[in-house]
Amino acid sequence: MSQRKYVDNTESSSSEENGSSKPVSKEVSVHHVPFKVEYEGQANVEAKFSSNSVPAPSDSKVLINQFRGRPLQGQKFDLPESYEGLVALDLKGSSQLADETSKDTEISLVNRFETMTYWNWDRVPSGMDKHVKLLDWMELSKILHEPAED
Amino acid sequence: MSSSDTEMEVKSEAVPDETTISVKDEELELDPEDSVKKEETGTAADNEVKADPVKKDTGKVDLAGDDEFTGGLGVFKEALKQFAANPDEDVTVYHLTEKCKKVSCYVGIDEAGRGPVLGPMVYSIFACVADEESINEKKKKGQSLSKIEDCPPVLLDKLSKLNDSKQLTEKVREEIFQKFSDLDYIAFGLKIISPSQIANKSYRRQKYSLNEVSHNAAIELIQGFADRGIKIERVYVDTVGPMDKYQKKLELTFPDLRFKVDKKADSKYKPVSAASVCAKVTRDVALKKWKFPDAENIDLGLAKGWGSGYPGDPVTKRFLRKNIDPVFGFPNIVRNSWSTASDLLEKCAVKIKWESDEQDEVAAPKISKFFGKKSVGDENGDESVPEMSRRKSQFYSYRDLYQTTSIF
Repeated sequence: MSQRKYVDNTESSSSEENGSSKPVSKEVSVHHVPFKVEYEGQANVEAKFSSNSVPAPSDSKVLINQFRGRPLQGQKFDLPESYEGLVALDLKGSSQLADETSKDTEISLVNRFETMTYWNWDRVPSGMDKHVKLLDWMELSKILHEPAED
Repeated sequence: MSSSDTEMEVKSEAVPDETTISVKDEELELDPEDSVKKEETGTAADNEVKADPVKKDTGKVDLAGDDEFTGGLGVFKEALKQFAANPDEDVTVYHLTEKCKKVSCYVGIDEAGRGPVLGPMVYSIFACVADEESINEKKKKGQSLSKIEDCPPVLLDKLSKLNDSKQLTEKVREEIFQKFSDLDYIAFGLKIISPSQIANKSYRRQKYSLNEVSHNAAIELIQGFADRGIKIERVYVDTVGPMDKYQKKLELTFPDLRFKVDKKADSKYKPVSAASVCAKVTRDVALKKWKFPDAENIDLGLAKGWGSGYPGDPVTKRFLRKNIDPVFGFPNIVRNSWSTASDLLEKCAVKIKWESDEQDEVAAPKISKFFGKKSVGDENGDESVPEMSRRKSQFYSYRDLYQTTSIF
């Protein structure tokens, strides 16, 4: 696959108060939910969802929430080291940001994240969840594909 | 998930959490010798000593107001305060008196707010000291105890207007409830069941019906009374679902107690009428005083409210239509599992496809398929049989277990 051109918009204008030029990354809360939303666009995730998460009385690592009345149980996890979460916007066929960017730019990176929360519908998070298995696999695959030391 | 799993989780919810315990501390106990002198029973009982601000002067109390109260009203207010602080969780409280621990009581259980699409459902348990004088009198006349208990004589009988809460006006109900608050021969418990909990339960993987919610609320309240030492003579319950099954369930859960599960119990037995008044008053105030976390975004229209919560109420209808977030749906006052609510979401909000809905789309074959002769046209129908054997038991699919014959 050929590299697609992208523009990085994840760094908000450097904070001028302290004079540092170090970019501040816009951290967002990212949820992986057990359903498909047939809609693309803005949604009031913070007020209508994130802020309703509460730790389970039985296990504070488990989070409880709900979506349209369905009970959800979830868990926060850190992305493995050397991995970074990115939220990307496909610019193809979209007029957004068109004036700021050169015409051949295809992707706009809008957010970065280091933690994610995944949600199960009425099932306690466990090692059997795909997300946890994925993390295991990422570690395994690294070992498997590393050049063998000789 | 097996059915015992469901039972277990239900029980774990019945364990009083911190909030319940804090109220338990405030339970007011009245000295049987002198009903005016109030006894402090817990650490948090300080406010019990404060003089009742309204009661003596006017006799009229604004139940939805912010004044502080003592006795039964104090417990009632505390329950509503806790519920307002976290309307996604259930709240259970008890108001006890010494007499109900020493003298046999007839106990009634009833609910309010089962049908509406908005707000909590409230369960109430109500104990009233038996009227021994009247019982003895009737016995002397040759009536059997079972006959007497068909209309259990309780001291409450002296309270005239008491009847099924639905036949009373809101004002009368509130008046009666206030009277209860000061009586030293009654006790009650309230369980406010949050609308989110109602929806959550019916949307679990192992569906948990509203009848089960009701039964378990009743069981929790009876257990609550028993744990707190109320002397229970007999429990009268308005039926939910089939009468006989419910009666059996209660008798199996509490082998030491006697039950009478009946239709229209709220109009036949005084303690049930009383419980129905407590439940209805609590439900009405809880609904009226609902606090939205993002109140500024709630569209209340000209009516400035959300109505009775019954699906037929035009104010409720308008409220539902105007307060749908295209992605997240209704605010938490709404019971999402009600068809009134879910139909509106289907029509007015974006479509949601649940992962598990897709899994479950393989329909089970008709049961008639296994009976009778195969028709001639079905000769090659054998091919469709593996279709059903492919359908895994939920036990396996929920645990992500697959059958394998080889690893690769």
